[in-house]
Amino acid sequence: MTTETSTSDIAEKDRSTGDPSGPGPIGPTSGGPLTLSLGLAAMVALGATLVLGLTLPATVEQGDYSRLIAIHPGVAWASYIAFGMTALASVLWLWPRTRSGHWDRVAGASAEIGVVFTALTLATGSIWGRATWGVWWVWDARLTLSALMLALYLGYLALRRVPASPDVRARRSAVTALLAVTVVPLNHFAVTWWRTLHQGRSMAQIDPGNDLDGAFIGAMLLGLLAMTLVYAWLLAQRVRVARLEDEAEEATLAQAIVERRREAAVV
Amino acid sequence: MDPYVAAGYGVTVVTLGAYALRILRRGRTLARSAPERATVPLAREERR
Amino acid sequence: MWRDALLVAGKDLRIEVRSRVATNQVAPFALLVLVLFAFALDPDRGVLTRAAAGLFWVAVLLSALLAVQRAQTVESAEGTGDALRLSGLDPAGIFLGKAGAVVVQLLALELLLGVGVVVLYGVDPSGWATLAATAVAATMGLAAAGTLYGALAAGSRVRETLLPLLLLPAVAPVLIAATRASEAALGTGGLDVASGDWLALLSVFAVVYVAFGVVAFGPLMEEQ
Repeated sequence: MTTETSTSDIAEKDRSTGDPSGPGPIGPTSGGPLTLSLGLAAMVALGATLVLGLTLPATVEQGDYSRLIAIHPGVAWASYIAFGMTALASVLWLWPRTRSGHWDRVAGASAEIGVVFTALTLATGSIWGRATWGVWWVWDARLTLSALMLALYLGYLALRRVPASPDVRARRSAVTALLAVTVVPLNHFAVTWWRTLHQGRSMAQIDPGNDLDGAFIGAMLLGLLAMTLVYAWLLAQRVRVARLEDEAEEATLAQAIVERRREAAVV
Repeated sequence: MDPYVAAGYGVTVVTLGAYALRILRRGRTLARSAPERATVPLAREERR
Repeated sequence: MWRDALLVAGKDLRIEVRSRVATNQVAPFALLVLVLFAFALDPDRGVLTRAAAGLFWVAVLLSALLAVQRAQTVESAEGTGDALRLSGLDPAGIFLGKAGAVVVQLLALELLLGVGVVVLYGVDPSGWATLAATAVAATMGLAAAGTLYGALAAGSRVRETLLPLLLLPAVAPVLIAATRASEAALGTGGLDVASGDWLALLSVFAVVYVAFGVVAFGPLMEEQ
């Protein structure tokens, strides 16, 4: 009987060190009605973007390639939102009044989604570049910045995977996220001056986005909206998974402690 | 359809879809095993 | 804070002088990198001379990785890190001291590499004031960023591979700015590049990272 009470003690303690702000017990389905409607909205917006984007008229300068405007700016935008969210969540974790495991999970989840979107930015930008400029990669300021951001946040995710106690890991990650978000503007200036001052001629002059009219702007804006919704839905799901992972880890730990105590009682 | 446009749209849809599926599957696995973990040690205790 | 910084910097530099790792291993490595660049690029057609500024700073960057790792290794052995934590020294001072020791080592190394570039790549040195200002600003930024990321990666088993991944994309602006400013000073940049803007960027980078380190080093040290 004594072991029984100690089990619940441990469970109680883990609950209290865990996330105070999280919602109640999680069911087997993926999230509440809000997440579900968010997911549906994201699906509809993404579908509409694909349809509108693919039916855009061919332009004189670019032919069919200008249809990529419906997705490339959208994924780039979503990557910036994701890294911004990581920075915001890190600040909220560092701020003593709002500190909770929830914000650490949001920061990590958002960075992971941001990396996916940045990789997509590079992929779609590269495909667009090959179509328009004939090469897979140009040292365009924005593409270079995206590549550096990808490396920065891959480093952040690698640091998050280093085993440490939850508190230590959260603090380390929060500081790294703030460092990363500080580096992005510095990188931006360096890369922009490099490609404009040094070359004397900016890629912006032959930017694919210069010959826009209404339909293209509409498709681009719809793409931005769709990717934002997709990001929000992915974030909700990923944070939920992160919470389940943390709970599973705690449960395994509690179980291991119980088993050790039982061994001790037998001896 | 132009191959580059198809590739651009394809890589976006496939990547996002694969990533979403991975998250959902992981979430489902974890959610399914979570109740077991919480009840198993307690049930064993009661049997003893 | 400043007295603590001097104490820590003095300690680290004394260790480096006595262990001779910097002089016997890091400096030869840096020179070796210069030789490797000559193997990789054609030394006859003036490619090396034109690219000298960039190659110089890449060599500095690679050596900085070693110097930062060395500064962390010193603290990880036999509980010296714990001793430093318990010493009651101001964490901001410890940060400034460790970064300062790296600055001194890197500046010495840059002098050596500068001679190497002049001798091996046939660069005609000119614009001393700009070069010196660039070196000081860039090195301060590098050392501050390196010390911070070194502390973040310290204590993990993967720190040798984690540190470059964290540090290199973060110091990309230093490499770009320092290279352009040096090219402007050497006159190898081709077009009219304004070195003033690049120096300003380097200074902002250094100030941001030093300030960040002064604030964040305390919490990071407590944790381990």
